[in-house]
Amino acid sequence: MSHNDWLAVALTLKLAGVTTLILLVVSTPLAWWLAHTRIRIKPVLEAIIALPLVLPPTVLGFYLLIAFAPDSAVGQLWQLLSGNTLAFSFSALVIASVIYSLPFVVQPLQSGFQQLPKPLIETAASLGAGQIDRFVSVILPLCRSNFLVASTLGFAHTVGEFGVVLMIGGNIPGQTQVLSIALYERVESLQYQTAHWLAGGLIAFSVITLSIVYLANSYRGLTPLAKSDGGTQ
Amino acid sequence: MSLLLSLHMERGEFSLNIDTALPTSGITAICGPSGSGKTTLLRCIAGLDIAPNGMVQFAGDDWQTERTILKPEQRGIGIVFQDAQLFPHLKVRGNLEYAFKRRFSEAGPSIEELCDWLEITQLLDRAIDNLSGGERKRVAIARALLRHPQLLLMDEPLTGLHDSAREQMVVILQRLARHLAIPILYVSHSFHEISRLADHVLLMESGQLIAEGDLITLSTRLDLPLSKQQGAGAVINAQLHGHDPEYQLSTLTIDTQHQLTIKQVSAESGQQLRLFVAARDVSIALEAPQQSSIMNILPCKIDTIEQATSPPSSAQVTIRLQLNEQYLLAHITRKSCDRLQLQQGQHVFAQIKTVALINEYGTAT
Repeated sequence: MSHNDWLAVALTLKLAGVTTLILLVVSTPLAWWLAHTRIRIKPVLEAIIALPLVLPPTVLGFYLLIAFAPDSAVGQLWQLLSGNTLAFSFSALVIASVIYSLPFVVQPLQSGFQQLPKPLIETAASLGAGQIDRFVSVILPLCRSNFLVASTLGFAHTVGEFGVVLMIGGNIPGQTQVLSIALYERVESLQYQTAHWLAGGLIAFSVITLSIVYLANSYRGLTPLAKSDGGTQ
Repeated sequence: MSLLLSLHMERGEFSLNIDTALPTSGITAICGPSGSGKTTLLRCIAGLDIAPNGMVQFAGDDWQTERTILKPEQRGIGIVFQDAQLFPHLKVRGNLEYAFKRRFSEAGPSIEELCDWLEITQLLDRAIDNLSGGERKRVAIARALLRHPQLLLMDEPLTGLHDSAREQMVVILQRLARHLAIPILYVSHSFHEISRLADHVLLMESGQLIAEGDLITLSTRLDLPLSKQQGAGAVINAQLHGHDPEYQLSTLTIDTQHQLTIKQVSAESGQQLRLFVAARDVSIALEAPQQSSIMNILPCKIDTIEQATSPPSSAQVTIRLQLNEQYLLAHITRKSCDRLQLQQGQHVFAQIKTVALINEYGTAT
C-alpha cells in the first residue's frame, strides 16, 4: 500500500462521513414530511428520491458533470459563494454523494416514522412535550434502529460509489481519488498486489457494515437494498 | 368557573354538535354508545382534534377561540387513553419522570404519593413489556397526574380489563378522586362504571348531547337509553341512621318514610351514602308481604310504566317507582304487570333484593 492508497482510504472515509452527516440532517425532516404529508404528488416525489436506486450512476454523473461545469449556473453560483471551482473538487463529490445516497437514508427513516404509533406522540404532547422535545424524547429513541440503518446504509453506499465519482470527480489523489477509483486505476496499471488489499478491504468493510444493519433487529420494513448499478462497476 | 364548549364538526357521515358548560369539579362522565362522539369530544377538549370555529374555554382561560388555538402541550391537561400508551423505550419510572419533569404546575402530588395511591411502587423498575393490563393502566393514570394537570381526561380507562382488575381499578379511582382537587372527564359506555364514579353525566348519541345532569336524576329517566341497559337501575342518596352490630347490618334513611337495611358499612351516623338499586333486583307487590326473607320492602307509587317499544311486545316492562323525591326502577315481566293490573298512580310495595353501596357521597375532601 503506497502513500496514495492510504490517501484514498482517508478520503473515502472523509467523504462518506461528511455525506452521512449531511444526509441525516437533510433526510430527517424530508422523511418526516413524506411520512405525514397528504400532498397528491407524493408518489412522484418518492419516485424522484428513489431514482438513484434504479438509474446507472453514470446517468446521474453525466447530468451532475454538466451542472457543475464552470460555465453552468450552479458552477457560477458556487464560484461566487466559495471562490473555488466546483468541478473536480471534493465539494462536488459530497454534493453528488448526497444526491446519490439520498434514498438509502430517506427510506428507512420514512418507514420508521410511518410506523410510529400516533397516540404515543399525542400522549407526549399531552404531557407537555413541544414539537422538538417530542422528537428528541420519543421519536428519536423509538426510531433508533432506523437511524442506525439509515446512517450505515448511507455511509456504506457512499464508500461503494464508483460511477458518479468517475464521471465528476476526476482522479486527483488526496482530493477526489476515492477507494473504488484507486482500485480501478491499480488494476488498469496491473498492480494486482495493491488491488487485492483494496478490494479485500472493501469486502471486509461491507460484511461488517451489513452485519450491523441486520443486527439492528427491531428494524423492519425495507428489505436489504438490492441496487442495480448496471454494468458500470 | 366551568369548561365552556362549543364544538361543531363534520367528518363524513359523522357530525359533532355540542354546546355546553361542564362543571370544573368532581368527575363528569361522558356516556354513550360507541360511535356517539365521546372520544372526539374528548380529543377536541385536549386539542388533539380541532373543530373549526369552535370554542373551548377552561376556567376563564381560552383554549380555542376564533383567533387562537392552544396546542395540547400548552393546555395543562392529563390524558389516559384506552390502551395506556406507555413509552416502550422507558421503564415505569422513566414514564413517570417524563411527566413529572414537564409538570404544568408545582402544586400536586409527588411520584411517591401517586405510586402509593395507585399501588405501583413495586413496579417502578419494570420494563413496560412486563406489565399486566391493569398495571399499565395504573401507570398511565399516575403518569397523567404527574403532569399536575388542571383537567384530567380519561377515555374508557377500564376497557380490556377482566372483572377483578376492573373492580380494583374502580376502587382505586374512587379513592383517587378524593385525593385530587382537579376535575375529571371520564368517557365510558358502561353505566355501571359511571354510577360508581361520576357526579355529573353527559349523555351523547350520534354526536349530539341528549341529556345532561346529575346521575341520580338521569339514572331513572325512562326517556333516556340508560334505563334500557341490561344493568339499568336507580342511583339514590341515603343517610346512615345507625348500625345493628348483632346482625352486622346498617340502617339507612332515604326520607322520612323510607328506610333501607344493608350489610354493615364502615360509615358514621349521619353520613351521606350513595346507593345503586338494580332494576332487575326490584319486584312489586300489591300488599306488604308479612313473611318474606326480603328485608327491604318500601311503600311507593307507580310513576310510569314503560312498555318496551322494540320489539313491540317484549316480555319485560320497566316501571318507575316514586319514593317522595327519589325514584326506583323495576324490571318485571309484562305478564306480571297485567296479572297485577298495575296502573300509573297506584300505591304498591317495592321489594328490593340487593342494594349496592356505591361510595361515600359528599365526603370528598
